Amino acid sequence: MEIEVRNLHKRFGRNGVLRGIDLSIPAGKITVIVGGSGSGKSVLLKHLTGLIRPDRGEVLVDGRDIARLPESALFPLRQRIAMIFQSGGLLGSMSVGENVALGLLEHKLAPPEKIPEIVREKLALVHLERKEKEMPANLSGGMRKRVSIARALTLNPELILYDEPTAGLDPPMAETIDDLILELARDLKVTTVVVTHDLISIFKLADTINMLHQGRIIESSSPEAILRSSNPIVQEFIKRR
Amino acid sequence: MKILKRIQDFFLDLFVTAGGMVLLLIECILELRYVFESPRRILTQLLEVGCNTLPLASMIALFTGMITALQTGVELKNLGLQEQIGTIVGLSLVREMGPVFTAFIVAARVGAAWAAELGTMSVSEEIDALRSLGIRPVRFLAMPRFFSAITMQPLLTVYSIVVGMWGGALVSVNYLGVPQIIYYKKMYDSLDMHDLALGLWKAFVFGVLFSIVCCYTGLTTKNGAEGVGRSTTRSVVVSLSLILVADYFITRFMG
Repeated sequence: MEIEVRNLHKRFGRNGVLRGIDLSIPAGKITVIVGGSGSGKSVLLKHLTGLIRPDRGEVLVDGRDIARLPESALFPLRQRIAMIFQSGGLLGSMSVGENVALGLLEHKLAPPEKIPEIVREKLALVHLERKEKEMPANLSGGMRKRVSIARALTLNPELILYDEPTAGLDPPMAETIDDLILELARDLKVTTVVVTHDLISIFKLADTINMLHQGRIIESSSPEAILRSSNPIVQEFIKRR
Repeated sequence: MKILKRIQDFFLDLFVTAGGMVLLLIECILELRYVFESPRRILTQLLEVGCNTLPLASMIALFTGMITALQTGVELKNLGLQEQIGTIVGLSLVREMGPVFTAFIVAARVGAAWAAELGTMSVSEEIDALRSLGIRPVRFLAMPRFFSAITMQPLLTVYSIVVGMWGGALVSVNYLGVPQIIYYKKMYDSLDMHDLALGLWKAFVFGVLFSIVCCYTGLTTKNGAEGVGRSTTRSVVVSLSLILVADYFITRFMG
């Protein structure tokens, strides 16, 4: 799945968050979007799956502008695009198993008797065996994110969007999540977009790095080229590495 | 200029909210065709609105009937008209107090909980997570609540009316000395199908109103825990106000 973002603008009240984003997300690669806190990374990510509508501009998913599609037309598309939220986005009133099974049940993608087996298989993919009965409130932040990834995988997505996947995690858990993202991108050959400001994750994961600053992409290149960038804002961002 | 801007913002917010609620109502009605596809979610809400409200509804209905009989009964007894207590209790419960008090109880107990639950889901990205899974929040969250409100509200109202009548009988028979047969005979003679239909129609409309208000307020919650608190209060205030306004107009044009 390929995504092309053209001249994207979004404003909340008087605050112009995105001010003409141009971005290309190639199929099968890991694209990382970086930037400081409050730079609009998560807002940009939500535009890619139609959760937020732009004021102006285009979001072309496989050549189709989803910014102009009605909400009803977006629901089938979203089954092909998984989003992993910063908080995990698990339903607090449901167990881990029920959360993971949610998409399968709602879209009737598998016969009910097969669902427990698929749930176990997807949880095993994120190294969370025998956690089906747990409630989300009893899990650590890293585990919640892995359950969220397992839930997304049940729909066999072509594109996975990660919103700050390692934020708030201790270094070993952050490394586990990074390894998982790499593993899934490699084994399942899904297009991957990661929004983060974690420098270790950025250079470990990225095929392409896009630097977001004041509502615009100011640099888009490979990790090696980013390290050599002469842009002072980019240098300021990566010098803490 | 600042005052003008505030007035403008107030009316803009009012129109956006009213429009949003009407759209949610239309969506809920359209989604009703999927009501049998999620029996577990529907049953959970039916139990929440119906069974779990029964103890509170019973207590309030019982005392409403008793107080009505007591307030009117003493005066009627002074005039030698105590046999009419059944008429007054019956009419006031069926036409007015049964539907309105039951709607107040359910809106305050269940509606507030819905607004808080959906509000918490909104601010913790659970609603966005549902949308990102291709699941329609209205079908998944709002429609089962809407369905349970419009079905259980009339049933609860009938139950409250019956309990209220019994409460009235307790006071009339034991305190005011009206024979039980006379109390119920007068009540039966004074009520007709039109009264019952009016009461049930009110209950249905109140169910529509509070469920849409509370679901809309919850689904549109912003600004974290503070926003959830504000949404919960707002849902109850708006629901109770709309129930009273609707009650007046239904009584005025159908009563």
